Amino acid sequence: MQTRTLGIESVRAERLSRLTEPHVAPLTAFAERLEFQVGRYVPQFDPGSGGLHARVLLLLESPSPRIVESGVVSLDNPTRTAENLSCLVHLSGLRRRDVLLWNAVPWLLGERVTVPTEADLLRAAPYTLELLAHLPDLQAVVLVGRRAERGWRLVAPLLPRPLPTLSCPHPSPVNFAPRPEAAVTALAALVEAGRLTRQNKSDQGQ
Amino acid sequence: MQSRTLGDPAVKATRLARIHDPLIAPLTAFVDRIRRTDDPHAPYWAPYFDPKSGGTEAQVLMLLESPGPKVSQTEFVSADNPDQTAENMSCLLKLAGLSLSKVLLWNIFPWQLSAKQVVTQTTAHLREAAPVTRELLTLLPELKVIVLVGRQAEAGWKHAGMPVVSNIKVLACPHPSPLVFIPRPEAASLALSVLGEARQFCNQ
Repeated sequence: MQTRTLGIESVRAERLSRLTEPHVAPLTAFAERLEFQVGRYVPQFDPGSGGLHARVLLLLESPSPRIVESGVVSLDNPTRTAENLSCLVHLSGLRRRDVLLWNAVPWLLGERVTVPTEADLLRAAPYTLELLAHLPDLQAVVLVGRRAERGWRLVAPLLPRPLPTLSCPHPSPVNFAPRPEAAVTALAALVEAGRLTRQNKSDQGQ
Repeated sequence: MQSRTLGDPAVKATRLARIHDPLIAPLTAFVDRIRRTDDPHAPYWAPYFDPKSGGTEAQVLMLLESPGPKVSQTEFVSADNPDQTAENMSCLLKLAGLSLSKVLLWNIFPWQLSAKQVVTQTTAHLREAAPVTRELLTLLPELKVIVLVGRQAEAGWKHAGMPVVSNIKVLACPHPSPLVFIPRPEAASLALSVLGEARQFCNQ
């Protein structure tokens, strides 16, 4: 496996050329409409992920200002956060096609701002609900970071059906480097998410 | 991060050119001593230590079981080997915050048994390897932690009657083989917690 590949121009171009593939096209349209409605930059869903067929949604906080370099919310972004998350997903046994990455606040907050306020989370909640309606196979939502958890509190009461959620520490180097136990908790959350998807798969098989 | 790079002949050649670098040369000499044949496919051939690791300055020694089949091609015990065990190990080290410069990878049975198919070593094998492992420890003056990776390594450590070194911590973690991690992904969480603990015994 190779991380940070979206830092390579040819890989990025190939990935962006796939935004209209059937498993992501409706999500691409959703992100474009969201950008128009909110009037802020919104990066795209990753065609290299499960897209509409995702069984696990990894909901992070908000896009990093560096997201404009790739334009895609992806495990393959050239950042240490994405690299850590790639390693976590790899070790957890979740497959790329099981997973979709997105942010509790999907638009870019500002050139330096990355921490969403309560108002940002409130404004974003209906869009998260709309996204969930696109994902019929979803078995679990992993809330990556405390802001994602706060955002989910505004979403959960409005869900048409309850969804299992797991809390996962944010895999930024600022969080992981001083606290190796945060990485262990994060991995355990993804392992549990994987277990839920397999459990439900076998339930459906019966 | 890129895993499996030693599958690329150019990367392997560059790595082989470094086996006499100062931090790795004494370990290369050690391997040359324990190799009892020049034929890489005969018994008692052993791979080299990875020049891209901590070498003689390693603070964490990860003792796996015995060299896997890919090692015959790459000639190194390395987290960059082109197999799933090495790839999982790379991810674990990355997430634990253990940089390769602090770590040395090796096997409790250092010789290649599994060139053609994976062979599990016997108690006799482990006893045979014990003096060699004890000699290795004398080459690692900065060592703080030994991590026994997998049950064979744990058994080998016990059977071999290793000296209890008061200032070296001995930890055990699950083997990162896909045969372990795929059916039991919680083993990966356990392995990561052990590596995080190992890191805490290192000098920063």
